[in-house]
Amino acid sequence: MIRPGRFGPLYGILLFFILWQVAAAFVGTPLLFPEPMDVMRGLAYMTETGELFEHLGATLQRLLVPLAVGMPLGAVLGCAMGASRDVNAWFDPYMRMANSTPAIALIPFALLWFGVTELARYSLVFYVGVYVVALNARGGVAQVPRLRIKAANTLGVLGASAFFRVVVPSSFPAILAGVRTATGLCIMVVVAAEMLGAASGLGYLIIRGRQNYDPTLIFIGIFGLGILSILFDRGIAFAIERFMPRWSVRRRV
Amino acid sequence: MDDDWKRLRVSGLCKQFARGSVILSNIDLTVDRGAFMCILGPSGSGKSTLVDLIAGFEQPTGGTIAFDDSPVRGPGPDRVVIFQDIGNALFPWLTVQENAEFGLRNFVRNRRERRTRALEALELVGLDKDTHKFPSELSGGMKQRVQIARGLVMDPHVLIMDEPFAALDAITRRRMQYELKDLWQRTHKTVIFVTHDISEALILATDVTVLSSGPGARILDTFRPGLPDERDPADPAFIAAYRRVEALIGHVQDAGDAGRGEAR
Repeated sequence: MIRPGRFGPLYGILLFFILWQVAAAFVGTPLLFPEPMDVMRGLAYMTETGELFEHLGATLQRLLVPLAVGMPLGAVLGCAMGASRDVNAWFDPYMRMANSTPAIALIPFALLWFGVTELARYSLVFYVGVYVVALNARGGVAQVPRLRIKAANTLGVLGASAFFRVVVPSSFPAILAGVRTATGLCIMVVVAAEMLGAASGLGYLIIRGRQNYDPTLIFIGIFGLGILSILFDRGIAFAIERFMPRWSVRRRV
Repeated sequence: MDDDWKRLRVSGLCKQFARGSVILSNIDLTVDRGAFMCILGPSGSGKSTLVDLIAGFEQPTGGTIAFDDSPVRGPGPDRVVIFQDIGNALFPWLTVQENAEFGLRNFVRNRRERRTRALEALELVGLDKDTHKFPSELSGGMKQRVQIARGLVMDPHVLIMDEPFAALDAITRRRMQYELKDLWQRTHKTVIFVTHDISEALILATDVTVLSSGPGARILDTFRPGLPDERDPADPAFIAAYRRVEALIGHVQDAGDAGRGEAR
């Protein structure tokens, strides 16, 4: 394992900014390649006006609302598919299709159907949230050690009771892995959707930067997305640790 | 389930899998209430299949399993199995206490009663100080103790132990054997203990059943070693019993090979 130094990744970040400054000075055309200080200034300005949070909030909302509905639904669907051959037979073709079609390819279709509305973006994120979590949940159910079910059975815990008390909790780690994958994928989808049609959000900011020849906007958008991703990932890890300590990585056998 | 049963009787038990391979043929076995029955057999002798049948995980192709005259069907808490696989037998998201209470949840409404009963069982195996720990924090021996407590909580007629100490290191295994023996002497719970370790069987058993090597395993002999309560592997009587079993298994391996040659 690599041991983080006293300042952790600080040196790396510092080096990155130095290289960036040097490269920007070398290119010499701020219209193509802004210096780090320009981006910082832009960032400070947008923070002051609150515009940054507006866009960050818009993207965040487009992720959270449909995921909050879609992921639990996906978990239920996936567990049902893992439990019943019939349910699996019904939904498996759709799952395969969804899994092998890039969600981004569906954006124009969603915009055609719902217009440039929140509904279009919500529906895309919802769809990704459902099928990714469902696939993981199904895999989790399939991988529950047979012995665990036998252990429940011999203690008189049978059938549906064994399913809810052993199979579902056993597949929890797989479902949580699905949650992480789904949020990652949905960030991509929502940004692409914002680029193709929206008047707010980080994706919109990036596109506006390109259209207005304002590369600082592009950079701010990219940084915003990086921060959003980290927040999501850390946030999920923190939530598991805090609210579901039983399923924290440390506890897994 | 009738509570004053006298013996568990396995008669004419056969198991044949769909592809036609015979695992067990014509097994007769009587386990008296309060006995410690060790079933000894080499690997591949169908010991685990026998456990699965008695526990109710599998249906026999022929024969019956009954407490006195009431036959058993399917798995149930009157025949709790203690499994060998220490990694998967416990529920890793539950604490020691919650693992021990697991079976009671479906049978005992009162939460406090569940707690005290689980705690009593954990006390019996010496884990009443570790109730809040998770399985990942326990050693192999401790995990098996939790499993035993989790079974005892159900107050089963029979505790079926399927090579429970085979995955432990030699020293822990020996300690667990003496602990189990002590536990049995205190509770007089009926035990069916499956093993391939002759000295383990002779340390623990009141009754020993020796299975032939499979396929189509059958019972070679059932006997009471008649050893004193305090078993000493260096005792001449112990050694004599050991030799007897070894001779049985050795002798049969030859006969088994010959038999197989004829049958197929």
